[in-house]
Amino acid sequence: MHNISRLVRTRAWIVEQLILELWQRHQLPDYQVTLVAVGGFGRGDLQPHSDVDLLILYHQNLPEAAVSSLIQDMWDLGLDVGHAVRTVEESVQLAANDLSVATNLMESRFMQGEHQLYNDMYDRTNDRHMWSGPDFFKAKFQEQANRHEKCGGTAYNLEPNIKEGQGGLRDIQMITWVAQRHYHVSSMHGLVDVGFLHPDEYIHLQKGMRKLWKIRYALHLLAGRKEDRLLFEHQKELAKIFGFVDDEESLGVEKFMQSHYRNAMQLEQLNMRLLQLFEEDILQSHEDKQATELTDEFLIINQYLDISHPHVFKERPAALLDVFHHYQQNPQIHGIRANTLRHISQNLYLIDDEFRSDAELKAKFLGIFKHRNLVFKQLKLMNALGVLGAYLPVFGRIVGRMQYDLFHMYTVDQHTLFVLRNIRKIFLSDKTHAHAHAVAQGIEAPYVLNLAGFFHDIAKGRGGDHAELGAVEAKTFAQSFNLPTADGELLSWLVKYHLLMSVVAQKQDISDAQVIEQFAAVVKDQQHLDHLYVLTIADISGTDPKLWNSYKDSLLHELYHRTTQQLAAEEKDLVATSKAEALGLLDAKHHEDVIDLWQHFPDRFFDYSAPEQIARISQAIAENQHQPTVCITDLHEDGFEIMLYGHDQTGLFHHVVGVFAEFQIDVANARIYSNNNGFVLDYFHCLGSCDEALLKDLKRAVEQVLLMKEYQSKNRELVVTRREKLFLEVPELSFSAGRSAAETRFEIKCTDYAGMLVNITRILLNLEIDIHAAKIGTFGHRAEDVFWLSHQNQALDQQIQERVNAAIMDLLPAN
Amino acid sequence: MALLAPPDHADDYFDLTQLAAIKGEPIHAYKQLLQEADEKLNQSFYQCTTFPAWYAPVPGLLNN
Repeated sequence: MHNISRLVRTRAWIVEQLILELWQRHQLPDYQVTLVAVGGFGRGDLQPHSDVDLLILYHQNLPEAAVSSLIQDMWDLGLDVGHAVRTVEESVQLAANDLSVATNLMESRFMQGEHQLYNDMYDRTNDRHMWSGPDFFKAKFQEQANRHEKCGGTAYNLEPNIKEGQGGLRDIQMITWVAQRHYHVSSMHGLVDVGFLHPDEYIHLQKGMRKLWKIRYALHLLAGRKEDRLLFEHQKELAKIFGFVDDEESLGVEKFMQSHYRNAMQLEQLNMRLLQLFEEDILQSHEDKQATELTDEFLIINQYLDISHPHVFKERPAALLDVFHHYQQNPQIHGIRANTLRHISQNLYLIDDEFRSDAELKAKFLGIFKHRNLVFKQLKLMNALGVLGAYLPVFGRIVGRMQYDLFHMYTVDQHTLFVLRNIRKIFLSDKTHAHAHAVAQGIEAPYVLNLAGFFHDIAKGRGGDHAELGAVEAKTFAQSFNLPTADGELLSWLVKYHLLMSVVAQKQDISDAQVIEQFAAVVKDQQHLDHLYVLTIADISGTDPKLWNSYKDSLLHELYHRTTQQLAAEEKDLVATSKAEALGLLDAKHHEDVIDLWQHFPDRFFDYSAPEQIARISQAIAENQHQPTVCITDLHEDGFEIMLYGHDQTGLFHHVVGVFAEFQIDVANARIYSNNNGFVLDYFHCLGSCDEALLKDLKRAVEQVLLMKEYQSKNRELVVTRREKLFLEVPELSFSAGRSAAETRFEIKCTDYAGMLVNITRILLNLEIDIHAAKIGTFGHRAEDVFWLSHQNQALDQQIQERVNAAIMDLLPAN
Repeated sequence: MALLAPPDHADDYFDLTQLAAIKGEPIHAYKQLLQEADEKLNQSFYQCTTFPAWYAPVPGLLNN
């Protein structure tokens, strides 16, 4: 007996009874003033805490005191009233200039007062007087695009907006509004009667809407207010309410969100298909239809692909893949007509085992990955239409799959598609990833890379190691789709090791020859390295746009470069080579001075640094006559590199990190080179503002530290944000062998907090521990920092490790 | 469009005779009536939240 539609309609009816009673109570006259319900209340559905939108129309003399008192009573009743008080003329003027007002009035409902006032307003704002069907459609279409953009441009972000976002309630209302304005039907079902909506589509829209209503109802109850974003703090509770429980493979919350994403995806697809249908009917109806026959089964009508008759797919199911093949092969085709999209949807059941085992179709499917253009576009469309999930059920499993963390910004299927788009971008342009673009030009068969992008996360959400499981899936695919053996092996290898390059670059010391040797041993040859390099960059950039930065770019580039040398078995003296190249970049007048300076530097400095960097640093020190020096050595779009050279003093690193924290600058990487002349060179790759004035102030502050004017570091409280609080993790601290016998590698994994680095370095300073290098990694809400440490010129013994452990565990809130 | 018709079973949640009975009373009495109705609606909501078919299949596979 209980269903969500009835509940929200009952609530609207109850609120209406109360408002009518209040109207009577305030003795508002039944002439000259009219009470009108608008918005959701006008439609007759009201969720808990939703706004009760009202319009009070009047002739000339507004009984102001009575109206104010009425509104006050409604507030006292606990209703969130949104009201406007206007004359008919004002309403008409506003509606003519403001689409949202015109839309609101379309859904208005007379409640009480003078009926003629309402009729005047309603008639004068209809499509005969303003916002004709085509104008309304065009404006609404644009409005929808802006709305989606505002909500992040995808329905598949971590905290989707179920009202305004893609596949949300507004998208369904949009269809009703256009139907009402142009086709003059009073409800969505009216579109079925006029033949625009198929009965199945109507059912799907209704079901989808009811699911969204349920979530919204629960969300409003949980939040205790109107809240349309599926915020992290409510997702777990919502999953519980709707009966989703954790199991070995995934969390209840992930299953709940997957269910939501799939619903949103279906609604988004229906919305797009119907809007296209409207566009063809409303905007293109007067244009001459130019139809060209492409094959017996397909036509091109005004640059859009269409089937030549309604039984094309039933007569030959293989045509379901041919659609995408034709679209990709013919650049003159701009899209697929709504009629065909609908028929694809209705005939997906034809994709059965026989269809999937057809060798010719397998070759066609593979062809999509091999084509030079539109790989991402075709696969995105195939996914939206459900063709991809139906044809490759293994992909169907990751559709709408989310991971409950702050690291993965998108669902697995959307991330996969973004990775494919990034691969394409890397091949086409050198704008964002110049070096990867150059490497990609040497890749002979990009389709293997496309397939690796497609399969790399295919086994997510199954429990176990998704890379290992994915490699098995990729191998099975390669055999089934008859890939050449070498391509199949490369594909499977790429899926298996798709995280390796990222992990080595970000968590290991890549200046360590042993690290490079081990990595090169897995990579085996240049072909594997080139593929893995491009895939890694596409993957990181496709996880979260904010995850990619100049530091990661330089790390991966460096690892690529070193591994290439290792693979070529170039037994060069790297130190001598770097020195020679750096010298070549310097003005001859500095040569003698710089060679003298270099005698005091450890080999590690030359081994790790690029010649350009060595030259810039050396020149700065030489020009300052070997005195303490601070220099910004490089500027990037998202940060900068800074070095400081001065007397080695206790706590220098900690104090400098404190200065960065004061300036709200994040340290991504730090290297410390102690020289044999009592000096130290610290180098930092920082992320943050590159504002000239700020950098000047920062440089001055670091100089103060260097000049022994000790920076008074404040005890900084760790700042925990709303999101971070939900993802507090038990910190993991580990100690392992360092780069030499006198060093210990210390790794800390925990929730990321602002101010953490300065606190950790203070602890190390208090324990008289020297920091030789540091890598500061942030992965969504997680910090993964690595330090190379020593204590009294020795590796950290058990006792000191325990003290570090205790002090840091004490610091972190998750403990 | 005009006044809303009472949905089926609306009187399970809201009794119009009670509304008539408090006519003229302070606004608090009306607020209490609304709160009671909301509580009943919310209880009903929690009874209709779980059902196995809610786990949506892959879009497009609905017809399979």
